[in-house]
Amino acid sequence: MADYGGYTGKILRVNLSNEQITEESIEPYLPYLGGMGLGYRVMWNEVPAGTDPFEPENRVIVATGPLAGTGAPSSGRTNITSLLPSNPYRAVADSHMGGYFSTELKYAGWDAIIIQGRASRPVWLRIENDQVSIQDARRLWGKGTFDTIAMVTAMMGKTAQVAAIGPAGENQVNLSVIRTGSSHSAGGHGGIFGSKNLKAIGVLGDGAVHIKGERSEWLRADREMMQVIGANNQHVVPSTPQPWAEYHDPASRWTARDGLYWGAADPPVETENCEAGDVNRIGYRTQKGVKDHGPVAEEYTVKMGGCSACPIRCHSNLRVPQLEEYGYSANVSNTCMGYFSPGGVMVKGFFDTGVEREGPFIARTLGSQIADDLGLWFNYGQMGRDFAYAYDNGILQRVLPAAEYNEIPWDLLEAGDPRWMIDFFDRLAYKKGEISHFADGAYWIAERWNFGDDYWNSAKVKLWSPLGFPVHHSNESNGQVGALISCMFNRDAQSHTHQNFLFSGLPVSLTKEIAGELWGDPSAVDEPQNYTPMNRYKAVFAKWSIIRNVLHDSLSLCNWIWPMAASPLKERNYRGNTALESIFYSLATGIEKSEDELDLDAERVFTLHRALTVKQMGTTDMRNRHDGIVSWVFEKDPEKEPFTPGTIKLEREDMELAKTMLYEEMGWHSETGAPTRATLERLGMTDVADELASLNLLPT
Amino acid sequence: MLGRRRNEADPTNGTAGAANEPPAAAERNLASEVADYIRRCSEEHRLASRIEVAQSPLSIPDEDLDSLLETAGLQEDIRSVEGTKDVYYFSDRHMSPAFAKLTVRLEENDLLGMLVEQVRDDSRIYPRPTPARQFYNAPYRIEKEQLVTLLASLKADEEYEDIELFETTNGAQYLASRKFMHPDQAKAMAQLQEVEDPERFF
Repeated sequence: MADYGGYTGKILRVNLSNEQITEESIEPYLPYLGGMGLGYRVMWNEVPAGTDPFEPENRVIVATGPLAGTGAPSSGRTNITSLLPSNPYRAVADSHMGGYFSTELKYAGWDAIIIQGRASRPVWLRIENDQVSIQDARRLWGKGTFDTIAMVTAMMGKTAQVAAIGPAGENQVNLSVIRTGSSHSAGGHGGIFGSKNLKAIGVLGDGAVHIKGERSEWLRADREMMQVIGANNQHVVPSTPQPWAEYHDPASRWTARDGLYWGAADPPVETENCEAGDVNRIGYRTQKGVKDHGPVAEEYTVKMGGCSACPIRCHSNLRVPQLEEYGYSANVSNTCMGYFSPGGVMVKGFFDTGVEREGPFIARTLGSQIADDLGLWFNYGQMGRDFAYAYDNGILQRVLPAAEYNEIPWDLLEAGDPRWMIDFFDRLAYKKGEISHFADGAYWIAERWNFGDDYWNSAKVKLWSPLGFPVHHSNESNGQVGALISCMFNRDAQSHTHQNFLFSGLPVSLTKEIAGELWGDPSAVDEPQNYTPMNRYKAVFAKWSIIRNVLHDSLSLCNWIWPMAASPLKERNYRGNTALESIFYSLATGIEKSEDELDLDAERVFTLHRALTVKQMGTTDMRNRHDGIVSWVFEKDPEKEPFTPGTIKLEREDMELAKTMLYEEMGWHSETGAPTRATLERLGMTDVADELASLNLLPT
Repeated sequence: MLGRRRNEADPTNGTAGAANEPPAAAERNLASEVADYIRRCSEEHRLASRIEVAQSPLSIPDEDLDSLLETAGLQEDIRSVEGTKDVYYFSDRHMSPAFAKLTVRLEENDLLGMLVEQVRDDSRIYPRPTPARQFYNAPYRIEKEQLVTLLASLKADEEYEDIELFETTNGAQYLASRKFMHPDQAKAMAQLQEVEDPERFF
């Protein structure tokens, strides 16, 4: 391979069936950048349509991007690509985890690991620089993720990074995770590791990631980044009025303020008013414990944690002594849905401790510990709503065998006792009984238990797609823009590009101004809950949001922080710098690319995802077979018309127009939404076009 | 209410000499000290009232005060904001006009005026409904019982008839100004962040 920076140049391939370990060059994958893009290309090349996710022929690609390990801000993400068992077509999808795994993998000299086959016995993969071996995992098998990570770390050394599955992954539960560090989980692919008898990967490296560009240029880019970066989710205003700030937003994750502490630190640490531009206090801006749990969490907060090279610490490290009463460690760490999703199964409320919000706090932190240890995933909160639907509608009495139903401690659930989660999650992770099918995923459980239209069409259930994935910054986020983004993937959309920008905390007048500069017209952005009909600029905004998300997952950048569309700086009139990705990429690799050129690479990656989906679903009719939206989105608030103040309801014809406009922006077939030969060739994927043509899957 | 004094200054109003003539060097020096004093106050996150400037260690004679403040206001960053009891000065290098405006209300203990102004600003500028619970935190620091009284008094005054107090289905109280924001939009936004999508907003 040419002498690039950023990349190590090497991919590790591990065939667990014959225990062959080989090395190959990353060169053929460079047009796909790395991470997600590399994963899609491997899946396209090597996994035939119709492959079951749990068959040895499936691949799981654990991949970094060229910015992992360089120290570029917020570059700690690891991308995992494989077939997704919870998807009805078992279509390709990505899961991602933060932490330090990708950085360590780069230090060990590897850009990615391609894993195939199935080991004849439980194994774990040991990577120490270029020494790679398949190790016996019989002592690890059956262990929770905390013990597994601790045991591998004990064998490899305390600076090793470990990714592991829990019992849920071992048992090939559809909704299971691969976990690393103390709190970073990649949801959806734990069972793939389990199907390959792969319990964990341990990585230890003592190399470095070299950058090609001038160090002074790198430092300049880094300094600019430290000026334009905000808080978690790139919120650029504080949550309370502060002397330095022109604006504030109570919903902002920039929660630091005078009088707010990491209360369990010794001595307690005051977050203080953290001014924009004060680079030494960026890590204090987000007091995520209080943001996630309310004021009750302040006294339990030890500090904020996070990922490699990220100045924004968005994982709250808490010490909750009450958890020991349930047999779990008092030390718990997580963020956002990592707390809310497991706690979502407490559908009858929470016990009352006498302290405001302490009951939910203890339950959610406990739920996080149990779920993380078992390696369970909750489909971005969907499982709790699935459970509520089934429980409240008496479905469980119908579908569970009487003996099973009678042994389940429903009294704990009814009392809001968090011990309910200990019992319930155990059944899910070990596939105990009929009730364990909740962890098959929304589509499969609805099929199995014959859920009615009221399930699919309920705003309360919050499903987005007939394929069984939930709302994730969808029509509540700029109407058609969030809706389009939510239709495009094979699981819940994990795009925060649009979300971060729309809810940065700036006044909508400023947001619209910036939108006009970035996407052609201020009408790309609507006021919240006061939408206008579809226009071309919204399609441009949606496309940009998707491909920047894909870009970040291909470079190892965190899409919960990037891109820098806005900034907290009044002197910049709150503008950010959307070229920073290309600046860091060019400096790291030595491959000079403009912002537009890098966006084109990301467009290639996402079009390959679309082509993979077409191939795996066996149809070009993406508009109707893949990009569908459940009915509540169009029927919510029956007393209101779409595009009137106070509703996020959309209009069916308008939404079809929105799809057409996005397809056109992507260069896809305007009726079906499938990639055309012309676009595939424009993006350098003639071989993909040829294969689709041979399968009669190119639109005419 | 807010003013930037430098360009709007009426030269005939000063004591520094004849109209249209720059202030004398001595006055400029003292005015510069006044400006520095105001900046120090702003750095400490507080306003400098006219009275405070007069009583500051600079010991400015009352008859010179307006003129000196006028001259100090010629500096790029020095701004003023009028309250009902006094005029207040701040440096926008260290304090935003929005925060200065809010601080005047708090300084003068005009909590109802502050609350109404905040709600109207939220509805007009962003637009968004205002969660009542935000007033418990810094810099407002209003006690729960006091807030109940304030919210009740909103209803009693015609001047505040544009302000609507409403509850989401989980019982959270919000306010919005009908003058600047459609009530349905305000209610839907509050409901989304409290009940329908609380993970994102809480």
